[in-house]
Amino acid sequence: MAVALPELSSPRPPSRIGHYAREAFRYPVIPVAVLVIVLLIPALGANWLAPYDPLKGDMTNRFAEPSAQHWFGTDDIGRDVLSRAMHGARVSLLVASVAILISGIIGTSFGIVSAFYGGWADNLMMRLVDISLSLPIIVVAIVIAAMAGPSMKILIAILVLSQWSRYARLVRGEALTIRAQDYISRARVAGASNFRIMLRYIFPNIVNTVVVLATLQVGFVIVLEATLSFLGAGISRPTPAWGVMVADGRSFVTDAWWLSFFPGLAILLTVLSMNLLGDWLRDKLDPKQRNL
Amino acid sequence: MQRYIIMRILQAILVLVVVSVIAFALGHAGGNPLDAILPDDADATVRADLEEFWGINKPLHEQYFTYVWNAVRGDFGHSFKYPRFTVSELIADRFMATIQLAGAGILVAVVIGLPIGVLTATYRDTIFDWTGKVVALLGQSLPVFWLGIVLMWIFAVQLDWFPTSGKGGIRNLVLPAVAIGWFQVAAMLRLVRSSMLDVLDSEYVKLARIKGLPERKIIWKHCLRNAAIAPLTYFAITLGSLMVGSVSIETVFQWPGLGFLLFNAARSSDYALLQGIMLTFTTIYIVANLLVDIAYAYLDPRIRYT
Repeated sequence: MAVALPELSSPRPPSRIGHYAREAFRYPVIPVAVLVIVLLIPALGANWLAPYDPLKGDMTNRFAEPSAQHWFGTDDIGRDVLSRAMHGARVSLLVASVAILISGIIGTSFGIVSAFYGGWADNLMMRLVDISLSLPIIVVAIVIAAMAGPSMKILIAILVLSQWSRYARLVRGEALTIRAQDYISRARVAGASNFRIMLRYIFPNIVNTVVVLATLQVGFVIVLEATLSFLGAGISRPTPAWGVMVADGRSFVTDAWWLSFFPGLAILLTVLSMNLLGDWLRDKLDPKQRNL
Repeated sequence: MQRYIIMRILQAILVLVVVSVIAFALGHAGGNPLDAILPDDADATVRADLEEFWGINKPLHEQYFTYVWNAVRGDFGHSFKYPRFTVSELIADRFMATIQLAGAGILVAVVIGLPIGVLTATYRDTIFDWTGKVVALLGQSLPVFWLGIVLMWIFAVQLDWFPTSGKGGIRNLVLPAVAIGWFQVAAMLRLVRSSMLDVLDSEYVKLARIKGLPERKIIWKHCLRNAAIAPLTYFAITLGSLMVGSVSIETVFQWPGLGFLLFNAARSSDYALLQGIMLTFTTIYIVANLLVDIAYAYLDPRIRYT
């Protein structure tokens, strides 16, 4: 008598939903489009495109609901939420790119130098990285901002403090393998200086990894920036920043949901698209970092 | 193994020293605190008395060691804002509220994340898998403070199912717990999914299938028991990082915990209180991370100190 054995490892036939979804995600068309609309165009063109002055209120038109005149409504002193959100994109983009650029440069140099010299220097530098990675950054940031007074410079410094070590650790790992390659010793025999070896022979081989990590970190940095601004440890009023706008809307959530909703939605869309783009870029440029 | 654990403990102590130096330095960065609280024409003897009382007239390193010694004994001095209370009293008063919130957050993560994680691993490339991916992606991308406000608007303002803020019964806990647990749901989901995939591939699962056990029983009983160990260990100990993450959620829901206390102390420039909370949070965070690393070293012998 034949017994119907259950199939042990039959993969299910891929579903149609899965198929179409995969096709759409083959190139990150949607994420890029969202980024252009939500972040890039408003950030670069806020001065010309914003329908109203982001700082000037109209006390006769407070808490106006979203309408044709004010797409995202107006706030407690009659400022246009859409215009403020557009200028907020500029703040987010500026702070995130400066913070990522600085932490990328510091972290990458740190990682290469650490791997290149090895020994006690490497040990000491990696302990520094460990310390920096184990600080509860939000708590430290609130305390620093409370003591020094919140400002954009302090905010960027805090973001760099929380980010550089991620680059340093990753780059060091990569640089260690590259340092052991033959062409490094040959370059040395040919008379290349230490600095030249690090800049011309090691750095070009890790730049992909750095770019991928930077893209994946943009979303994280934007959320961190917004969280700190929300908690009063980031951008200070009246500069329109997304985190600050969400915080200000918190008090009026019973009467005017649009105050917090739209700037928060902008954060969500930006970060979501950035993460998707980062995943895609990682698969393209640096497939060995799947678990990054 | 022992070497790894000892190195790891030494490192944790080093981080604590660094944080205590930061805390101490910040207390002095704003200049003499007496300038802030005394009027300009204050009597010199009053000033000297107060300097003596707070020990600000001693050399810096001596002040630092006194500070650390006091902190170790749980004495962080007096709050400037609430002069009747010591910092430790204020922290102790709020501590349980934060623990409660963090615990509820973990509960949310387990109740939502665990079943979805199992489903995404079992039914790969189906609607379950895609839902799971979306949840995981949103978990990384949603700013939690905004999620809190949106939840508050929908469920407290529009539907009126839960109170908007403050502490009270279980109903007050639901919204903040969901908001704070959201990020952990995504983490839980990924952890369960990957360990379920490993387990599903193992010999004893094949054996269970050959024995003719119903698929439901294989997955929810045989597989889950083994696949859940690692994620649950991880979660039992992430309480620390959850507590630190509670700052923005407590602020949104005005939940009277340590995070909200920190927010208020920052707004009122209450330095002694700020330092006390910072040291408390950091200690919890570092100890929790230490425990996670040690637990992982036991669970996964491949991890070694490099």
